Amino acid sequence: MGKLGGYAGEILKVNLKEKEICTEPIPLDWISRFIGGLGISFKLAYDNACPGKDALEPENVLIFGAGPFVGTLIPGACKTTVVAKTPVSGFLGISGTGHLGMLKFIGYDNLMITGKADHPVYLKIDDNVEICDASDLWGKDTWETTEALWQKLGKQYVVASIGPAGENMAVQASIIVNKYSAYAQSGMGAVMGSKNLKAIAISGSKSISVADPERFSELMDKAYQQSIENQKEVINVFREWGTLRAMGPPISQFGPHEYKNYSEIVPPDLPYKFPLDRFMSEIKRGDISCMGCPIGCKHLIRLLKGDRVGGSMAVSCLVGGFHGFAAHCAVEGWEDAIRCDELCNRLGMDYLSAGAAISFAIELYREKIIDKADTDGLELDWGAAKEVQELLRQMAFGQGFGKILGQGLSKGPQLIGKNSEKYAVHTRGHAIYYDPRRAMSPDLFSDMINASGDRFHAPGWAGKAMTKEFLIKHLGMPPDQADHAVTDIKGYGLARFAKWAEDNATMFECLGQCQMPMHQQVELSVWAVLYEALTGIKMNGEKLLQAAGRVWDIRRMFDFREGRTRKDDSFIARRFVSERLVSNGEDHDPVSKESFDALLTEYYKERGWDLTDGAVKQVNNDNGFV
Amino acid sequence: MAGSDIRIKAENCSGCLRCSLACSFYNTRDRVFSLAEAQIVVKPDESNAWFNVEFREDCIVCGICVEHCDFGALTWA
Repeated sequence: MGKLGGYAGEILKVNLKEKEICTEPIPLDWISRFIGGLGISFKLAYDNACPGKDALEPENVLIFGAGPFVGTLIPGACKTTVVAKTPVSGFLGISGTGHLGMLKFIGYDNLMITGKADHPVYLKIDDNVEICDASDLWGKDTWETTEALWQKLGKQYVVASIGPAGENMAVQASIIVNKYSAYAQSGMGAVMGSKNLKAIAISGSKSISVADPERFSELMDKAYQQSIENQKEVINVFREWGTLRAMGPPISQFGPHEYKNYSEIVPPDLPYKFPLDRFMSEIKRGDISCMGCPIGCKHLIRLLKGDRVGGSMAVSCLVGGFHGFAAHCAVEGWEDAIRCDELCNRLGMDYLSAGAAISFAIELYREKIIDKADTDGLELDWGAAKEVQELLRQMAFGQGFGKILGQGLSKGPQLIGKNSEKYAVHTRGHAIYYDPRRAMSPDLFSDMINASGDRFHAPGWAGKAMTKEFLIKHLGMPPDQADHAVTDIKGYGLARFAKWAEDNATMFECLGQCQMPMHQQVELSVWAVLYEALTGIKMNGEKLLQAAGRVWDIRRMFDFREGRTRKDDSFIARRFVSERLVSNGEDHDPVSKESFDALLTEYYKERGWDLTDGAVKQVNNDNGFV
Repeated sequence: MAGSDIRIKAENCSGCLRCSLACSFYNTRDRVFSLAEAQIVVKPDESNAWFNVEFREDCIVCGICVEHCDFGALTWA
C-alpha cells in the first residue's frame, strides 16, 4: 500500500509459539470496507481465529488496533481497542482505552498476537520487535511490572501489562496501561495471560503524515470549536468531576441502578456517603487526559488507605469503581471504595465485572445458599469492605471462593450449583450498568443484545434534547426516519434507533475517536472531511456509516460462526424477567420477554439480519466479507 | 536555554501530549505528527505530580505548545 496520511499502513503479527515476527501492509480494500482500528481488528479476528476453540486456548488471537485519527491533534482522537474471543461469553470481546496511541508511532495500525509462549514473555517494540523473557515479572502486579520495565527500558515506553488476575485467567482480568488506564472489560487480560504474555512495552520514533495539512489544520479547528469551545460549560464540569458527574443530579436520579446485585434501586442518599466536596478538597490531585484530548475527564487522586497511603493513583473511570463497589457491593466511604479501585488496578481487574461477581456472592451468602464453609470463613455482607477486598485478591490469584467467582457470572453459578443462577445478573456473562425494569433505552437494549464488554454512549447527551436536525447531521439518519424518531420515538422503536447509534459509535471506534457525548456534537460531515484531509481518501458521511455497518456485520458473523443465535440475543437475566423491582417507593414490572422479543425483531429488520436466527444476509464480495 | 520563556507547571500536566503533537505538526517541514521530532517531551514521573515536562535543545520557543495546552501546564513566563 502506498503511504496514506493517518494510517501507519502496517499490521504487526507476532506468533509467540513459533517466535515469528512479521509485518504486512493493510490491503487498501480493507481500509475502504472497514475504515481502520477496530474494523481492521474484526477482519483479522474473523480471518485468523480458529472457530470452536476456547477463548483461553493458544489458537485465540489478540488484536490491538488504532484508527487513522489516533496520534493526531483532533480533539479526542485517542481511542484504541483490543479484541479477541472473550472468555466471558465465548463470542467476540472488545475493550478500549485512550492510552495506547503509541502504537501508531511504532509504525503499526494493528498488532495481532497469536500462539502461546512456552514461558512468560513481554514484547518490546521500538525500532525493533523483540520477544523478551518475563520470568522475573511473572507474579508481580501491574504497578510493579510497569515500574520494573520503566526502570529497565526508560519511561518513554508505554507499558500495557497484566497482573495476577490475567496470569490466573480470571474472566474479569484487564490489561492496564501505564499503571492506570484499562482495557477493562471482556477479560482481555485473561487472554493475554493465556498466552504467557505479561506485558507489551512500546516506544515509537515514527511519524504520522497528513495528506493535506492546511485543510486538516482548519478542520481540526472546526472540530475543536464544535466539541470543546461550543460546550465550555459542560467541558468544565466534565473535567472537574470526570465520570463522577454521574453521581450528581440530574444523572444520579436515574444513574447507577445496580444496587446490591439489582435487588434494590440505588438509594437517593448514596452520593452523600461519598461527599463530592471532600473529593475535590482532599482526594483529587489533578486532571488526567487520554492522548490528544483537551478535556481530561480522568483523575489523579490521593490514596487514603493501604500500603501506599498518601501516594497518588491515576484512575481512568472513577464512576466505574463507584458502580462496581459502592453500588453493587454497597461499600461506603471514599477510603474503601478507592482502596477497591486501587486493588483492581494493581491486580489487573475490571471494577464493574469484579464488583458484579462479588455482589452476586454477597447475595448468595445472605440468602444462605453458601456459607462460611464455602467462603473459607469469610462473612460476606453488603458494605463489608474488608471481605470484598479479600475476594478481589482471591479472584486475582485463583484462590478460595474467589477462584469460582473468577470464572464469571456465566460459569461461576454452574460451579456453585444450588440454583444460584437465579441470582446471577448479567448478559451472557458480561456485567451491565442499568436495570431494564426501570427504563429501557437504546444503549441498554444494545448492551443486552450485543454484550461484548464495549458499549456506546447515547447520542444527544449534554443536556440537549435530540432534534431532527441532530439525528440527520450527526447520526446520518434519513430525514423521514429522523422525523419519525423525534416525534414518536416509541413508535419509531428504540431498537431501530439503537442500530443508528451503534453504527455511529462503531465509526468513532474505527476512526480512533473517543465517543464521549461532547465529541458526538461534531457533525458527521466534519468527520468525513477530516478523514479526507488526513488520509487523502475521498470520503463522505454516508460511506463512513456504511463501513461502520459492515464492521458491525462482521462482528456478528464471527459470533454466528461460534454458534450465536437469536436465542443468545434473547437472553435476559432471570431476575429481570421474574422479579418486580420494588424499592425506594418505586415499583417496576419485570421485563416482558414478548416485548423484548418484538424489539429484537425490529432491530434485526433494521440491520437486515435474518429474523429467525440473526444471521447476516447478503454475504458477498460487494460487502466485503469473503 | 531552549524553552526558557515558557514556564512549566508540571503539576497541572494531564499527559494529553497535545503540546508534543502540535509542536511536531506545526514545526516539521513535512507537517507530520511525531513524538520523536517534537521539541517538548512529556513522560510519566510520579515524583513530580504524575508527569514530567521537558524541552529539547532545538526548541525555538514558538509557543505553539502553550497555545495547545488546555490545562495551564505551559504558560508564557
